[in-house]
Amino acid sequence: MKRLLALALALMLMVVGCTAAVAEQEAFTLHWMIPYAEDHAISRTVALLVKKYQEEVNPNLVYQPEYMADAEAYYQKLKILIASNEAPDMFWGDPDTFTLSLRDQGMLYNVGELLEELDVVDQFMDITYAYPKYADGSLYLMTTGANTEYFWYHPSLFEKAGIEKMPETWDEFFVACEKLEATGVAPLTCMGAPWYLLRYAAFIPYRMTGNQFITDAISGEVSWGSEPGIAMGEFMQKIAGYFVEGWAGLDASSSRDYFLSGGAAMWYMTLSNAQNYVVDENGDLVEDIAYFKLPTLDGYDATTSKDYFANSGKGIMILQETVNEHEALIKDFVKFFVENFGDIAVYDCMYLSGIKPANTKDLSDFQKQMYENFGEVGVDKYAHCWDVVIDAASNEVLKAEIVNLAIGEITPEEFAKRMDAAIAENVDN
Amino acid sequence: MRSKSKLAPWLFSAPALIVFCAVVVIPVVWTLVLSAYKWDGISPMKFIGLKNYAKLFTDYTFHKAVLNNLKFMAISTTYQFVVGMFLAMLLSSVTRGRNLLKVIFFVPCIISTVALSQIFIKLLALEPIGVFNVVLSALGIQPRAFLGDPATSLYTLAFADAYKYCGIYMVVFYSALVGVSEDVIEAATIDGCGWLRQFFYIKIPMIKGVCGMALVMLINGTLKSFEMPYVLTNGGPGTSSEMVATYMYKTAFSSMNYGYSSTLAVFLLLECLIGVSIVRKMLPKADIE
Repeated sequence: MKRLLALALALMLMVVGCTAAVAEQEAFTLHWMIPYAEDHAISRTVALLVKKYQEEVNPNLVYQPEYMADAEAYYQKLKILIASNEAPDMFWGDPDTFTLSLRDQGMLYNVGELLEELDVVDQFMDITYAYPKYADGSLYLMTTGANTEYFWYHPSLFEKAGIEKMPETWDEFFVACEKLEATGVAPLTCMGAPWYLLRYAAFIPYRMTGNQFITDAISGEVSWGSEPGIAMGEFMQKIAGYFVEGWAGLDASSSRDYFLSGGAAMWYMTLSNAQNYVVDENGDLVEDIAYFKLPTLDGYDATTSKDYFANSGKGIMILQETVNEHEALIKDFVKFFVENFGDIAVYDCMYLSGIKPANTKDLSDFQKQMYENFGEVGVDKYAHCWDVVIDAASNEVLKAEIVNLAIGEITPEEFAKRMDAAIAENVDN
Repeated sequence: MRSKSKLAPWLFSAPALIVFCAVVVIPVVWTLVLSAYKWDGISPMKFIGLKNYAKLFTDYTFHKAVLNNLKFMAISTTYQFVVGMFLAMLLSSVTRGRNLLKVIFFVPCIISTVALSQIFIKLLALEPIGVFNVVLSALGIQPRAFLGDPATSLYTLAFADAYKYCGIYMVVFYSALVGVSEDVIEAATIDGCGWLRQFFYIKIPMIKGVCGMALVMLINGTLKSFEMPYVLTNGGPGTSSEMVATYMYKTAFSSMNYGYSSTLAVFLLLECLIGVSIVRKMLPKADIE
């Protein structure tokens, strides 16, 4: 009897060992579409992490990344590949109606259940874990960032213009813009990308109502012509007057270069996109660059100065079909990913990771401040990205019309009318 | 001996007909069918009848695209026709260096659209300042962002597109002009007809057919224009330089609304057919042969 038990135990151990060995050593080509340039901090982090996985766990994993820095081109290609049944094994995206439709078609792997199964949920910061959840609480994307957004500025240009302190309210902000203009420098750089303009569009309604306006507007419960909507339109046309000339035709790199060369005094940008240029190799701010948070709006207390745009960036999605074929390997890889991402991101690539690094002692002062800022923003208070929460069809109208509004082609009232019509047509989708 | 088989012509033209059907007829029919559906490429197709066509009447971006396209067509067609004819006239009058001039005028046609667009973007840039704006500054004119300003983006695009393709029509008109009989020209010269009057009263009337054909090609080509608008401005800023073709592309591959995109494709097809029909009606039948 004892011999039989021992034999059974040995057999069991062999099977478990073999499964683990299969997971570790399985030959697999990982096709991963990445919406960042190859030298972007996230791309470098993932590449280093995969290399470490190949060295320590599975040398038979072949990494086949496809980098596409242009967001529009990335999404176009991704959508065509998906429609052609040639989707990559892993890809990035936002928790929007497009990825929701993928989920509903059964194409995405339930990352939330996986993270719970692997018992790694605690390694994520609150917003990083919660941000990519859909309205029903399900989680099919894994985000990695601890991203906050700021107005980056040149203190020397502010000093030259006689601006003594950072603007804390929108009234102070516009006074600063006037002073900067008087010195001959463009107050703000900008680009024509709709997602970027939608950030500006969200500022005033967010300060007036929190996320209530956009939540109600995208469901048709409130008109885009209501007080926050019209205030938004008027704000867009006012602030566009302080953008650099020809901003509507600028791309991300040109608009960034305007700021870095001193042609513009301020640059509103996400930390993840700005850090390659505003943070040095030691993790501190470069010379003559500082930042301030989203100004508040006098008379409104729906949000505080500690509430602004904070998110965890685009999320990683895993194709269900890939998991069906290589389940053990994928689970093993994801576990390794979560356990190693934080330290590689923060210390090797200067990327502020929303997956907590194991080592927090060697963070620079700037990195500590950024983490503190991220942690201060409440999970329920961070500003929603309009192009992510709205339905796909209305989003196309929103992206086209926000540019028309900002360049003065249409009035705020006309913008509201067109958006109301789009929402009415698409809300059931 | 004359073949009595009525099938023979069909058999001989079958290979070409098959290819034509495969690459033209079937896609057009499929597009027509798809325009009656709502489909995002992922979910099942949903039949919606004429709803996509009804949407054309309320789609502001579509209205703007059509208007932009008509303006673009007018500017680009006029430029290519007039400049192409002028260059052809110049070439036919020049004896020394004719071939070199022909090559120089034709070079823009063979440069890739992407490369040419990048050249124009740098030439017209404001920061860092491009050559064009430097020249404007030197002349005391305020530099401006031609591509980034909604007031000038469409016209800049039209001129850039026309600049690229006018070389083709230069070649077409030149070939027609050199085909005019020298006897007629000699007779006109003997009768005291000057060079300019010869051009307008003898050469142009004698190449009316070629001019009509060129006009048809120009209208057709400019209405369908996609490459330069997409690369140079991508329809922006906003919708100030949106063309029907670029809007159709974005509707299909960004919005993933293949049904509505097919509707736009059908509209484009009808628009081109109507445009060409109008030109053919205006010109005498013999002139288009």
